[in-house]
Amino acid sequence: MSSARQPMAGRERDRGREIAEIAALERTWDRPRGFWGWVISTDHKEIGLRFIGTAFLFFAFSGVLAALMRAQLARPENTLLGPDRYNQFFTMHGTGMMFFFAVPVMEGMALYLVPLMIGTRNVTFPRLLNFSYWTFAFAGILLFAGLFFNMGPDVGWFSYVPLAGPAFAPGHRVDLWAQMITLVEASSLGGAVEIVTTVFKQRAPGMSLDRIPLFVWSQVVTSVMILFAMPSVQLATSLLGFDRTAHVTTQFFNPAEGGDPLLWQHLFWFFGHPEVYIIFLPANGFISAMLPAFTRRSVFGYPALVLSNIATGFLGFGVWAHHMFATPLPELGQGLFTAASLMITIPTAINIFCWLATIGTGRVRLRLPMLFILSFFAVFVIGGLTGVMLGSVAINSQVHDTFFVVAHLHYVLIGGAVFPLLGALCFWFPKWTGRMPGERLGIVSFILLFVGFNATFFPMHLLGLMGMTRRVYTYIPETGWGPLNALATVGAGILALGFVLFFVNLAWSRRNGLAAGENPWGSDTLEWATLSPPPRYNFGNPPTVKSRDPLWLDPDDTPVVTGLSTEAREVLVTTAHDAMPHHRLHLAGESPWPFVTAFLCAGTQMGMVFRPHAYVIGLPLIGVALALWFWPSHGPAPLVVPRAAQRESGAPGVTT
Amino acid sequence: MISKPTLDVSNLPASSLDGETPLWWGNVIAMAVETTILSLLLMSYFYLRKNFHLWPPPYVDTLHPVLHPSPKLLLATLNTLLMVASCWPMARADKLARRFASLSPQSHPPSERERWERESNEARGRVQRSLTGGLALVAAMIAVSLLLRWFGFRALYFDWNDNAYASAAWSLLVLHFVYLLFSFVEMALLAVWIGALGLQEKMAEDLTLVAGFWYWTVAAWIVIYAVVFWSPRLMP
Repeated sequence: MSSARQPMAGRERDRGREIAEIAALERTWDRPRGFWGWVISTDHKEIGLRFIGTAFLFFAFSGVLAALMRAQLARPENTLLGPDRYNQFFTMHGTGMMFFFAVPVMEGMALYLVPLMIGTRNVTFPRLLNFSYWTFAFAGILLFAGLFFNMGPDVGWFSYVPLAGPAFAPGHRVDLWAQMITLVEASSLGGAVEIVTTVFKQRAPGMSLDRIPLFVWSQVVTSVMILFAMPSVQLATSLLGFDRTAHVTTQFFNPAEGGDPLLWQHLFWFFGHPEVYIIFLPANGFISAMLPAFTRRSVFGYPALVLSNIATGFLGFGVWAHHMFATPLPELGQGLFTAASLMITIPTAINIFCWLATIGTGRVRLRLPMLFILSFFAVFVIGGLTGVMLGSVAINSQVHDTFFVVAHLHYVLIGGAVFPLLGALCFWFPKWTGRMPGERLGIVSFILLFVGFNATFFPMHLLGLMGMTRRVYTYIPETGWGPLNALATVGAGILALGFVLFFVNLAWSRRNGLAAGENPWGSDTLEWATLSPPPRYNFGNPPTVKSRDPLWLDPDDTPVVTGLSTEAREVLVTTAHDAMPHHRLHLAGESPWPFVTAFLCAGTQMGMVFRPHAYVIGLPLIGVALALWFWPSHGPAPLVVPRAAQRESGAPGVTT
Repeated sequence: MISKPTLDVSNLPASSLDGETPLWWGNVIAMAVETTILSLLLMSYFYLRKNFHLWPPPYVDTLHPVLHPSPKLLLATLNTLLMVASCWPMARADKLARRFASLSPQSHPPSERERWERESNEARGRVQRSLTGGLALVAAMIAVSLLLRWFGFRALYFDWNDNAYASAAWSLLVLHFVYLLFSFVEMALLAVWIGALGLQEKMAEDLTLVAGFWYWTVAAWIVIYAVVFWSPRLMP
């Protein structure tokens, strides 16, 4: 059906048909207007951005808490925050950053970008997407609201028992923490299911496993890790909740009745260490996605990068006990976990060397996102090296629970995840808004962030070695910790200013940035092949691909997909391995029930904070809402296949 | 876009019943997540065991103390047999759903399609009736299983909050009770929907997935049954 040389009339007819098709697509994929339409939206781009925006809101709250903590520690015997408030603040800082910022923001990036990168119109389960967002939002709002009602959890972000058990933490602070963590992990699981099924089932024809963009690979590995890690923390927080709830009072963690506090640590860290890679691997994907644009070559060592991501995913589950070296682990176990912890540096090092080779052999353009990538190398490598130190039992026992660990984890998480994330925000900002981010103010904010970050966290290494433990709300002058703490607090101020400027710059660019066009960075993956911002249906005709860098290497006559319905929300399902066209899938549309279900889940979990009866009332209601969510639409689904089309092509199948 | 060659997919089917459908993947992922939760809970059961000299601990809150209060076998064993038996009508309904899909006019070449449509309409009606019946039978069997389980909690001697052993054993049984409840609601709703709205391609696919989840639920029970009811006896 190629139409390169058609007579004039034919071309006009085609043009008319094309306009009509686009209008139909606009109509079909549009969501209901108004506030309610916004609430029940199932558009992966809208929900993805909403995940990112909400996560950054929680980031800001958690950041303010951190700034207040730094202000308290600025000089010895300071009285800005009392011990109780300080406990609540460091707990909510850690909880907010790990559960309500780092994981959701990475999932938000994936939910926005993955369907565009693999050339499809939406994720596989659009209603689950809506549910995931609302459970996340409700859990975060309820948990942060706790701070204002004297219910801010105060036992640290990993809530060790027996401190978090009923005997030592009376009241409802820990209950709120446990129930909301259970809830927010349901959201993470929903997002992970979306990514895995969408990537394996809806890739553009021709995008076989070895042509999947590296960013998408990272997100797949991350999502698979979420599927096996999050159940562990959900189970742990549920058991903790049962131990604490009146009338239930199970004995899982109560040593007096044969329970075991270390069981909590095992369950928590079986989630907790993979969590680090769940945060780091997406950032790893950002770098692989951005580098081609700024080095003008495809990333060096594609198979090595993919395999080392997968290896990291596996090894990430074998290192959890290195968080427990201060507990009586068997000696053999200690050796094993030390070995595994050191082994996981190998795939990470392979990543770093592949990227360095890419930069070394490419033509580097120092644009704003590239600066963030380069800062990643400096900061993350320092964090990685202190990680190797901490992986060794001997050093670990010395600096356990000191500021050395605080410094290490911030170097890894901010250097390894937040800097690449900020670069990624600048990189995809033109796709989201149609405008370029301002370079000048961006570079100023970058310098402040880099200087502020190092000034804040580098002194903490030294403080830790000097013996300053974590989670102390103040210290006496004789310790000599004053000057370095003062330096860290000044650094935190610079860092905060950097973040403010960064977002001021994006807000300014949103209105005043230069028009971006489809592919402003000259990048190679499919999200750059559509408008900026993309229409709701993503692609007029979904693409097919013939290489790993479709926008650079695919010839002009690479086919596009036709024949998907424009009157129903249809996507093409392809085979998992080779991405051959397999069947067409009718996606679910908007429905109020995912939102209602999320609301009921949040209400039930909130009720469980106070009374176990909440399950008795809540679960049947959730069941009803789920039944309505999945209620089949009346009348048989259209069995497709317009007769005329069948006669034309003879047999069912694909024609090119 | 019209200047490019095209890959026309309008003739591809609108549904499928094999491992290439997104729903099949979603179902497998759900089973993987549930398997993870169950495995971690089983590990917790054995982890707590090391804190006890006797497992289960002696039951002494009574006039007739029991030194080895291993859970009583009767109801649980009956339940195991019932659940294994229910796999047969489930498998039959599963097979019928696949047959229904194969009777769809789409799966035949256009030349034979008209004849097929005529003949298959009758066949599809027959399939639908026996399928609804099979599904209702499975739902009824699960209902009995739920009842047996409800009374079977007493097989444990202890209350859930008596000690860590009781908490671990109870939570395994309660978790599986929730799976049973979930399967019961799913089967019953599906039977009602098929009865009321007629069997559609989409429901046939749902049914094959529900069947898969049911086999998983039965397998999970066999593991839980072995651990909670037999491991204290065989590995005292």
